[in-house]
Amino acid sequence: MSKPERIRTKKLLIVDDDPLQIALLSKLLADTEYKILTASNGAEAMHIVLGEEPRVIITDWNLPEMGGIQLSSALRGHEGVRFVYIIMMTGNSGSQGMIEALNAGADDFIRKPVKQAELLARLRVADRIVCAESDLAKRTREVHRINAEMALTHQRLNQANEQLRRMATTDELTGMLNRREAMNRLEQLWISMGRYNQLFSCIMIDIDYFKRFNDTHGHAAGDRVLKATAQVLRMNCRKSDLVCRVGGEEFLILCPGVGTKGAGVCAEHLRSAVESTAVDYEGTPLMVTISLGIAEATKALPNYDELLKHADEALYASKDAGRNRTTCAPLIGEALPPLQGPREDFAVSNRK
Amino acid sequence: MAPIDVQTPLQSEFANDADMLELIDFFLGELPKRVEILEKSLQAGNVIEIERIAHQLKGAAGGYGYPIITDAAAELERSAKAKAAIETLESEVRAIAAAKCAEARMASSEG
Repeated sequence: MSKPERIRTKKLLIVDDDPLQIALLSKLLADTEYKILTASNGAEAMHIVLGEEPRVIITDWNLPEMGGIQLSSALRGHEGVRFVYIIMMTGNSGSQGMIEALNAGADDFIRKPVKQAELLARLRVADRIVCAESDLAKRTREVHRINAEMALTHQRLNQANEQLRRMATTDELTGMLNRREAMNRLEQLWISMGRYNQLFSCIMIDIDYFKRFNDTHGHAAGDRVLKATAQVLRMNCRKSDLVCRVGGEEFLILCPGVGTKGAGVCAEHLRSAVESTAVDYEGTPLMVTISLGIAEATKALPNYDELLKHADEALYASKDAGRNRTTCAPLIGEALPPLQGPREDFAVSNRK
Repeated sequence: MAPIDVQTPLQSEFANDADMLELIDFFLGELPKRVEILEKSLQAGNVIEIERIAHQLKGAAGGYGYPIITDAAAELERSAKAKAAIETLESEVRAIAAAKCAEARMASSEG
């Protein structure tokens, strides 16, 4: 009575050039859960390994052309070969051959004539190792997958963080640094000045008659002018200057390494640039002017709020003197010297 | 090593294992062919072939339940490897040839 053929998914390859040996081993392994494949030389074995992916190979030491040792080395050195457990079989005694076989990549060693009990015991070891190996390979694949996923998440998180940082530090309409970031940078400059005597100045800027401009031309036009003015300011100051929007129509420029005099030159340059720029809004050229107030940071001031207050006062002085001009706050103890004399003849397009 | 007793038919150690009978038959069919190759190689003076066949026989015979043939083949393999005198090889091949392996079913003739 032949037993119904079990479906065997695990494969075992016997490599031997002696049909007597193949017949015997096939018989000894007939009751195992392995599907038995056979090859009579190394090249054939290699071909079967690549096509069938057996889990275990029992190979003879002496084979025509490619011997068991070379086969082991080839299997271990081959990129596309999944892990296969190699049992080397030999008719020779002595440990030298065993050492050579293990060094070449064999996992175990069995002497001929092969005894069934020993063969099955060694096969159980093979099974343990193969299971552990495939489990490990599975886990490794899983780790790789998780790593890739994490790298992607990390990248997305970085992008999101970068976007958040940008949103938290910049003004949406003009792309300038926003008020919060302006205060952070000002604090840093203030600390550097105290610690390293690095001077800096700030220029407070306000667009003249902006509320009236908005009322006349509408908020869309107002926004257009704000953006254009921001652009002009950015284009006309130095790379090291920090250009910020700190209020509706209020800008602050922080000028590191620059005192009152340098900031004054910069401010005048900005003022005339804005004055001479016409902003195209739906075919209508719109023009605005700005008033500016400068204050230089000194250790005589108690804090940077006080510095801003001085710049603000200088700005109000410019407004009071007729707008479209720059005023420099006096260094502590000095009288207030206007940089530009009052100009009664300037053109302000939004003035009725 | 004890000489093979050519009078008493050799019986496989597994002769009582019904599962093994077919396999033993296969061995018994194969053995005379191997002996024939050995004799031809002997005439041709092909010691390397003698060593190869002896080596195979050494590895296989024991597995089929004939350790005495394994021992005799091992002796022949050693002599061939050591390039022993042709007379030595001759007598050793004859020893294997003379081993009369009992028919597998003899032991379990009732089975």
